Amino acid sequence: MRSQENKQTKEIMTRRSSRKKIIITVDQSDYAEKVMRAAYDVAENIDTDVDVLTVIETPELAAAGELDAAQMEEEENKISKYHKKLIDTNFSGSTLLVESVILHGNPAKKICEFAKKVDASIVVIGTMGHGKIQSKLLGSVSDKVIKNCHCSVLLVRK
Amino acid sequence: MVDLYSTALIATAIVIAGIIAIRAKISSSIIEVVLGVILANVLMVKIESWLEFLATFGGLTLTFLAGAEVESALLKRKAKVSGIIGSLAFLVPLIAEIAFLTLITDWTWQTKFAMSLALTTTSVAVVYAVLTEYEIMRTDLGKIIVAVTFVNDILVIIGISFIQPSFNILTAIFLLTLPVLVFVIPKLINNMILKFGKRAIEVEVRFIFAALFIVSFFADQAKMHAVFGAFVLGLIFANSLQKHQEIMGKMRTVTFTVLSPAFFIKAGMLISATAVVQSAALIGGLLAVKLASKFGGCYLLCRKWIPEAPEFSTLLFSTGLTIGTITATVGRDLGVLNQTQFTVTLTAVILSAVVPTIIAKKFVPQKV
Repeated sequence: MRSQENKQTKEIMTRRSSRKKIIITVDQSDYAEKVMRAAYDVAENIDTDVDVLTVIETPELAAAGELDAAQMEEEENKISKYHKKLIDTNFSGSTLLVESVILHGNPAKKICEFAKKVDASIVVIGTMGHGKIQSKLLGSVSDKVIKNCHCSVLLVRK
Repeated sequence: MVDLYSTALIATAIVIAGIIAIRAKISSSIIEVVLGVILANVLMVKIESWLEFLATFGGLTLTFLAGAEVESALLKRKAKVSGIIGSLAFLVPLIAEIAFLTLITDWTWQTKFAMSLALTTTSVAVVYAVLTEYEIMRTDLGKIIVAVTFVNDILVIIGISFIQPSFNILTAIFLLTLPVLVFVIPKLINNMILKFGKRAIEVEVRFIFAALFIVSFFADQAKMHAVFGAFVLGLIFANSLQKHQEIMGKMRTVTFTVLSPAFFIKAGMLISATAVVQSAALIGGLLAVKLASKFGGCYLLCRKWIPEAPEFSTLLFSTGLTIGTITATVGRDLGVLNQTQFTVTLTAVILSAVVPTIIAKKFVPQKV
């Protein structure tokens, strides 16, 4: 009985490690729901594991007071609850393995690094539809991810 | 009458600094210093009295926030390692920089001390940013590194009072009053929040600013310098404010909207672009001495106590930004640093925020 259980566990682990994975990048806008729905369709169709990823933007160089450990922890808890809400809304009843991931740093860079680390097959990302001036001034995460990511990128328009 | 032309230019510079900072993913304070240099050296904008006031207020608030960030529980847990490495991270570069300046300049002892003190800092915020980016913040390694930077900062703030020491009986009275403040102030702020909190007029934030000015005044009168009072107040408030993050959030909003930009823009406006060019070798030398002495002072102990990342840790201890800038500004305000000396110090401080950070990222530990 035990050897059968161990065999089953080993099969599950092997299956998991060889399964494809998609990364859904979300922020806390209303638009994230649309990204999740699009990603759900893709994930169900190709039967992949899913990581719901938010990158909390932090500067690479900071001055006193710009970063605070307690504030960041509060932000992480907030995002963790938000991820749970998104996952419960969009993936309830699904048999896919869906996990929440929170990283810090430069969003585009971290998304690409994480995608490479977990060998993702697709990154699903939204585009805010900024105007030309705002895009030029503030930069576009989705543009940078498309340019630098090692895998396919699904862009979900607002 | 306020010069609206200067005011408009400075206000525009503050916005531009914010946008560039978001784009470049670096602290807006560095961009503010650079824009300050441009405002004064290219556009010939003068420092108005309102900017002086806001910059002074900004310096005190930044020092207060630096004190409020200190986690006393963490310092207690890592007392031995942080105390020893932090003290060496402070002392060895201080002595090395003074020795370097003695060799190549004929500046006064106070000038050399003030410059060296500014360069011996470790930037808590730069360290936070790197540790957070590489998800090391919550590991034991991250906590030790942060604790060391706290000790380094505390020693620098104490050192500021020795730039022009003239201690008297008031100094003793002020120091004896501190334990009373440690007991009274947390109770006062908790009462303030209970009775007057959560209203639009933000009474608790007003209280903190009033306390900041009052304690800074008494610290200054006690010849301990106002920033020492601001830092100590931050330390006293640390535990209370960490429980009330919404108040810290409001303090940050006020600080980073106008006070901190005013501080860094004014600092930039005090820099002479000509002096930067003429003193490039000295600036490079000071930076090299800082890096070498931090290594010399900390590396061996980091290998013993932080074996998973000795190079990474030592390089992070070599960074400096806000407290270094504040120390240099104090030196200038006391008349101990002239424009060239201030320029050299501040440029070296800013480079010490950038260069060691870039190098440290090559030594990020893979497994912690």
